[in-house]
Amino acid sequence: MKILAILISFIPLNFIHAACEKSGLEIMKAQEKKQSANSEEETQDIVILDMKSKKKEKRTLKRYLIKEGEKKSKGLLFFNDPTTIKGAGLLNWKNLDEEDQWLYIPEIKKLTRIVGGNKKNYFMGTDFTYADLEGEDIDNNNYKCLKEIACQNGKSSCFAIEAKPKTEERARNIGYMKRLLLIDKKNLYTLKIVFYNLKGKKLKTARYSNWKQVDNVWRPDFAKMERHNVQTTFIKIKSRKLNSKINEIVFAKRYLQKEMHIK
Amino acid sequence: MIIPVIFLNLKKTFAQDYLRRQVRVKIGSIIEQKGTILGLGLGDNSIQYLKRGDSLYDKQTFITRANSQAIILIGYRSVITLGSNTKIRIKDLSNSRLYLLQIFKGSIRYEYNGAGVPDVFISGKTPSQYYSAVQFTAGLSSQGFIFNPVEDLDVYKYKREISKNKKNIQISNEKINFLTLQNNEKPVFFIKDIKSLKKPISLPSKKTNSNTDSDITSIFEGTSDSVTETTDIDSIFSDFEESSTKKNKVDSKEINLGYLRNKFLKNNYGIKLEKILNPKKSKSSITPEIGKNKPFSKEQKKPFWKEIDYNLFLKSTYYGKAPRSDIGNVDPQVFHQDFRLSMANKILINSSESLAINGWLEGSNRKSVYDEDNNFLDLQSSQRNYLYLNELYYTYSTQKFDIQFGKKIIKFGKGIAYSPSDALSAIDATVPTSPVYLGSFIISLDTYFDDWTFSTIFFPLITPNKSPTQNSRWSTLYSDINFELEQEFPTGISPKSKQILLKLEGTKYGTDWLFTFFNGPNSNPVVRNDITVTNNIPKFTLVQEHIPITFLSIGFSTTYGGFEIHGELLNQNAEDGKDDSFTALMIGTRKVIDTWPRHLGLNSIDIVVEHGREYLRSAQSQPFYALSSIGSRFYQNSWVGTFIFNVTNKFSLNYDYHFDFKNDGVANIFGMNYSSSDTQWRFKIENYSGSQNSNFGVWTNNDNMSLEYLINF
Repeated sequence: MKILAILISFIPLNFIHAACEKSGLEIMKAQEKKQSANSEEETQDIVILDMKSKKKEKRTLKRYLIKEGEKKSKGLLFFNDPTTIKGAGLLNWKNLDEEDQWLYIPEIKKLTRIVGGNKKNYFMGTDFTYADLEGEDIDNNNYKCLKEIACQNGKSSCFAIEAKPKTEERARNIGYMKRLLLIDKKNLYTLKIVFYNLKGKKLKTARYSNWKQVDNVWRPDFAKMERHNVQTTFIKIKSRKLNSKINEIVFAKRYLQKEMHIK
Repeated sequence: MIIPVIFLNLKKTFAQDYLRRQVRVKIGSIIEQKGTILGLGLGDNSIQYLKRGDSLYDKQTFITRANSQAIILIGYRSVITLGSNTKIRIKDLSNSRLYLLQIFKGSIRYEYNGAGVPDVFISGKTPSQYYSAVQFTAGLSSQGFIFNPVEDLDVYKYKREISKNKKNIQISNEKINFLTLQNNEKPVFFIKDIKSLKKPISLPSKKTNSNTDSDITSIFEGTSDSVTETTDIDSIFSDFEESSTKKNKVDSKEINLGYLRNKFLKNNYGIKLEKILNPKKSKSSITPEIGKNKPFSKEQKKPFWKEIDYNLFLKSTYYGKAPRSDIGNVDPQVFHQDFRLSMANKILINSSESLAINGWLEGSNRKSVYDEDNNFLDLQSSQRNYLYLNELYYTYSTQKFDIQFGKKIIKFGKGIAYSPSDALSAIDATVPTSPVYLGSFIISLDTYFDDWTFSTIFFPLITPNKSPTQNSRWSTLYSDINFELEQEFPTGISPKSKQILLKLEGTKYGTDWLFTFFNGPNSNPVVRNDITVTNNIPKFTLVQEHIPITFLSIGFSTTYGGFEIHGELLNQNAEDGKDDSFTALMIGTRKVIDTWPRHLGLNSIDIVVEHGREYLRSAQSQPFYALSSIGSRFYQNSWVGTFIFNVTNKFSLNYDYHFDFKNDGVANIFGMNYSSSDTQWRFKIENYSGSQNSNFGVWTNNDNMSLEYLINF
């Protein structure tokens, strides 16, 4: 009996509760490997809909991302529309755990360094936080595959994965106690994410659709983030390039300082 | 009587044929065409050359020639795009309100803008079965008939069944979710991942064994398919379409053709098609292919005036008190109105060269502010002009260096409110609390290596600051005597007469660094007493002189523990004691707090605190020099900064402060700001107090409320 108890204790917990053929972490790592691109260039239209007043605001932004190695990347995004924020840009350099961020405001004509730590702040009035826009941070989250379920009106099968920050500090930094992800089993792209705030209450839901395969990588053309009864943000990709050569000037500070991004 | 029977039969056949030709059922029309589109009539050999607006008839055959395309509307809701070298025939099943399309060659794209089952079904050369979907592409190739529905859409099948005695047309109501090769032998279905369709797809069983399972399933219920999402999002974005037709409700019987044109062209489903609408305007072609990067469409060239960014600024100011009565000739008004219409544009000459321009037209009821001669060609005027060219500069950029010359705003330094080294930027401080940056004449060379930039900036002409005139309530040169203040600019080409700035900026160890060296006339002038004697009568003139100086500065900006920290140290020497020589220090921080403010109903609080300090090493000592540049140096012992209370994304409150401990003065500014996509409103209350030694003390009578409005278009 004792031997049986010891043996049982060595059986992995995810096997006992297993409804998934792989562990959550394995699935997320496979997703990261399958869906990552060395460079990305996108033009996005964003519409923010206030649920109470039903008023809509549109923004257009351009986003660049380049990976220079393991855990080393540079990113730039700036707004082309509306005119009140045209030219405002955010430059980001990451190297391992260090992050440099600068903000450029055309009215001030200066590139100022900002603290990159406020990940839970909403980006420019949208329902996406800085943490949401950075994508999955596999190293700082625990993933558990809860089960496989039918999705896309029964047309395919998905993994339901629970993601929790590894530490409380991390949870406070990003503003979520946990997230539930719905990941397509075949293509390993994320169809839906439900976010829970630090009190465990459902905060918002993201949906990604119109998936297109570009250069063997899947990307959604539409995204919708609904902050329940408050506001909804719609993102439509107007154009996209993956794994293409991006001029390194784009990620230099002078690109914003010299207003080379303003056409 | 055989002959009459034969005659009667012939007559009946002729009549039927005649009627068939005369009574033709119209099924649609041509929305747009490019090149040659032929329409072949039924039973006769007539050929029509079709163009936009022409009607299309039942059982007519349509052919597009090489380099030709057409968009046709069938019924009320079906739009078909014909590719080049395409031949189709459309038959109207009037009993069932369907249209059967046979394709003989080429390719088409189809979109149904109604609800429910589409009304156009397509087959290949041999019409055994017809297929349809809300959106699909189809064609005939060497592989056979190709039918390609947009991903995840339902496919409908139509089969014509003829019974013995009568013709029955039945539509199979079967919705096919998956198309497998064994279901249909003849058509070859062009689907992205054909291999996976060789065996039927088995759906995972829905087991709900535990409460947790059903919770998880219910959380993810309602994951809508891409069609619904597309419809939702398209309708959200359609409000911002530039199409002149706003009426785009697809459930109405009258389909708005302009909307259809715009909507249809946006979605490309794998057929090579050129943009055929408005061919004169658009020269670009869109050739998307499945699996390749989505190309960037070339933006249509707008007229020059449409490329300019405009903004209109309006300001109304009300002063609580009349200006000081001990000043002669000061503007007595307590109500000021200002407006400024700004225009800016950037012309990209090519990938390396650009030209930027901005300026404005402005006006105000403030007295003694504008150059009454309106000499806007006076590039060094210290007064405002109604029409002002602020920037006009050319840029040549390469990977390793940039060259710029012209008139450009030069801003640098690590401070947010105050940067000691950023003293070269000319400012219009006619209204000191609403300063405007001015362009300076420059020739600059920036060279780049790694994360560092080395700049050499030459200022061939000094652009002076614009200060309040002596008749302005904002002037700090109060006097009961009317005096003349002349401007004197250095002449010639020498290190004493021309300004040069060397700047090294870069990032190292998570910190931004700035090193500057400056030599040349000080942008901030001193005041010199000039005495001339004419006919034994002395004349006193005050002259603003730009004294040669040299300064060296170092600055940094970094982040630590959630704070952004920055600082600068500057050492300035003036020639021959004509101005002060001093050392200036600035240290500051910025912090955004977004945790506990949420309990107060705020999104965040943005705090900036900076301390400026100046150490005078040697004061101005030359005789006849009445005033040093100290009047332009506000931060000799000051605390300055702002608190911004972000209530929502659009609305914020702010408190800006400047505590001048050197001269015992305080400025407090309280503001409310509201911004929407193109407009901004700002309401401010300004309060000044202090001793007569401080500017703020002199401005005690200038406490005011103001309302500002800015619109961008």
